[in-house]
Amino acid sequence: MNRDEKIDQIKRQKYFVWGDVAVFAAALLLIVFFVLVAFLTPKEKGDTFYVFYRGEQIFSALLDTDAEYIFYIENGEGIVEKYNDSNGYKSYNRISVEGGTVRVSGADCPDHTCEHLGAHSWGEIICVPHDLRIEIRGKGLETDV
Amino acid sequence: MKKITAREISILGIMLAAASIVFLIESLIPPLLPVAPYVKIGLANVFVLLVIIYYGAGKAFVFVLAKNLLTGLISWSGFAIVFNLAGSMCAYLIMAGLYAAVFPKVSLVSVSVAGAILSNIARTSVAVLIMEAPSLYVQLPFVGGFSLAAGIIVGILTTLCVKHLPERLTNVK
Repeated sequence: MNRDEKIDQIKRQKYFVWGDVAVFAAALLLIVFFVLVAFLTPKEKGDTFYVFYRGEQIFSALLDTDAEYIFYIENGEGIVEKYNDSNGYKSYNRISVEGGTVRVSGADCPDHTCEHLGAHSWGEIICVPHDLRIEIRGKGLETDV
Repeated sequence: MKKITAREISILGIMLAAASIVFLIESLIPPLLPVAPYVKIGLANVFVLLVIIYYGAGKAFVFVLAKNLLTGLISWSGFAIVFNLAGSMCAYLIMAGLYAAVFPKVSLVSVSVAGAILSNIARTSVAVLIMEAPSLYVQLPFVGGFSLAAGIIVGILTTLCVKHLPERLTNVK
């Protein structure tokens, strides 16, 4: 079938044809596979969060105490300290610990993806523009970093 | 690849501009899937599919590269370029492949659904690779479901364009 015949076919064809069943079934199977993988992945709640800047761990703190921290970049170095509203931070991510979860509650990165990722008690939160990764680990997921 | 005519270049230029504008408008919309904010509907894929249909896979490849270069220059952001290039190249490869191999046994909607799913899996994989954060793969069930819906929307829009666009706009001869 050449190009013009295919265009004619699209014009005559309905939006869905019987062959779509195979593609949609494959798509649904893929989603089911992803769901199974997601359920089988260990999700033990973490008790500590670790902050990595450019792949290097620069800070860690327990999740059992509610607190606010600020990550910011100064002279190419990533720094984490207790949040102080009076300081004018640049290239920052505000990290909030509440009820055993951690989230990025504010940032001046261009896309704010890290804020949209929400509060986590396991797994990771990333901020690609600031090369920041927050990793939450529990006893079951402890590794030697 | 056959010799390209002035008319083809002008139509492809208009489609490139339209695809870039749609892409930039879509990037202004807040994330529709908050758990995986880097996935998107990919409305610009309507234009990629139209170029595959009317001009063939070879010209569509150049079109995808040009679209990424143009949108990358406008919204200058290194990491966004990597996400978008990975997503759009994967979508292009599967859509061009399926359109050449199995259309009309499957509809354009299926071609588009495959493109959307692969594109968003590629974007998630880029996030995992850049940030060394494999736990992001846990988001794939949401990403897959979202992509299925996004692919249906893009596929129906493309079919509507082919059915209803006046022939003087699409006749490349």
